[in-house]
Amino acid sequence: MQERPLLEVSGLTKYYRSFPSLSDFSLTLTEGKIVALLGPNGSGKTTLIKIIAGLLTPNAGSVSVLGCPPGDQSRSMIAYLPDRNSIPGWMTSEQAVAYFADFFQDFDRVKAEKMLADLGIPLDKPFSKLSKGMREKVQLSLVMSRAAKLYLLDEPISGVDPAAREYILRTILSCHAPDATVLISTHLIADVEEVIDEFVFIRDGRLVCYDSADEARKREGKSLDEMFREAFRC
Amino acid sequence: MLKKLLKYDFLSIKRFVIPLLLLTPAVAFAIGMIGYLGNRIHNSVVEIGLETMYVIGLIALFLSIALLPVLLIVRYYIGMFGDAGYVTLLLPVPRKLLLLSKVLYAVILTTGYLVVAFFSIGFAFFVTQTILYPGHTIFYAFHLTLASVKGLSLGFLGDFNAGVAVELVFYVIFLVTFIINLFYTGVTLGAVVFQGKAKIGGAIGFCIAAYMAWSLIKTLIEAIPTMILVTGDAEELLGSSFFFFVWIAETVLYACFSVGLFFLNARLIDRKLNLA
Repeated sequence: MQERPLLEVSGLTKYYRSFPSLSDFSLTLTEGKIVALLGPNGSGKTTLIKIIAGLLTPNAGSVSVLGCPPGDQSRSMIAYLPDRNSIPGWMTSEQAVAYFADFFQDFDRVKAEKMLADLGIPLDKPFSKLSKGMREKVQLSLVMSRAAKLYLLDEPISGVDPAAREYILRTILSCHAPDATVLISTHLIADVEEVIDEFVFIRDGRLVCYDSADEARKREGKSLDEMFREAFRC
Repeated sequence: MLKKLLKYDFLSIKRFVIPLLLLTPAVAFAIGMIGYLGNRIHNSVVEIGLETMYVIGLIALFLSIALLPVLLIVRYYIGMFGDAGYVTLLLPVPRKLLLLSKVLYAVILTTGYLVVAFFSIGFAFFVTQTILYPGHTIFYAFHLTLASVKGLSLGFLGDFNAGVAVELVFYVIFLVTFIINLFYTGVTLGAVVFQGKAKIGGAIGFCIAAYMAWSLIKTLIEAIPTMILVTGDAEELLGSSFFFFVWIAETVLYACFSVGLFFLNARLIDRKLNLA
């Protein structure tokens, strides 16, 4: 059976002033995959994710999620975890859960509350009073409690301790529906190596490589981490 | 969906607005009491002290009135283009609705607050005025406040009555809607044109530009009745309805500008968003 394209990115170009952050970037992801978006700092990973989410307007090119361009419909299919604290500081975790439940039809409130309880997050404390790691855990719990078609996770494990990292990776693996795709941007390749199906190497806003993780490992006889180090050696 | 958006917009500013709503009448009451005492006590040292406190109170009162619009504009920036924008702008609701919610809650809050501030200032004036000019009613104090707000001399307003109050509330609602839309559009322009930390400077810069543009528009709007007054014919022709027509014309103009700015802002957010 032919796999259905979930995300189609074609000829994306984005400039920050005169500096190109993405140059003619094209990529097609199919349903039901966990894809690692890998590249050095400033390679355009976050820019790509923000354009897909509809938070940045590209200078050229197009994006579609299940055939929908960025808009109300695509936003209802995308669950995005930004690389910063996006929950307003005045909100408690309980209010943040209610907020997501109010606006996202695919949000599972019970699942979110269970995840927050597992991670030991106090529900009544304002977000601004939580530690950085706790805030990241709350955001991830909220995002992964949605039954979205496409998850965009920008550095989801960078600010948490190794024990929580394991829980988060397990959560990412177990929480998404079989037909959903997860695009993870990270520097911690060794941590995600075991869970990913495909990977994308990006450098200077251009696609360097898009391949199946298993096939590349078999073909090259190296781990993804080693391939990354070789490809992006300074 | 609009109801839900409004609920969270009100919740986001609750902790600032409630103290402000309590503070303004409290300051006005204190000013009134100082004015009252100032007219009762005839001791030069105490009088100087009371007068100083009166002036400080008045400054605090007017600063508290200016604080709410500033707060609303800052909240708009944070909620749309700051870190919270990463949640707000990803809600599966049309961005026009998102913007409408931000405009509506700001208009409701500002108008409500201005009514509180108006009666607070009226009260402060009333306490002083009844001492200085015995026999005046509280309506005279509100009449005086209204004249100050509108920048008109007392003779033009006639008596302060329910009709004038309703007219004033409508005028204020449309004026506030215009101002909110103007500054929101300024903030959006700054945030889409500039990136990174320059966004804040850009937003402030465009707000200042928007304020200057408004001052120009306001001068032009206000010049029309002045010019008509100079010729004298229109006032004679329309009689007491003259100022009513001027107010209606101003209100309609502000409404048209508000609609235009709202759609411009929504288009900018939809087509030029740069949350970098």
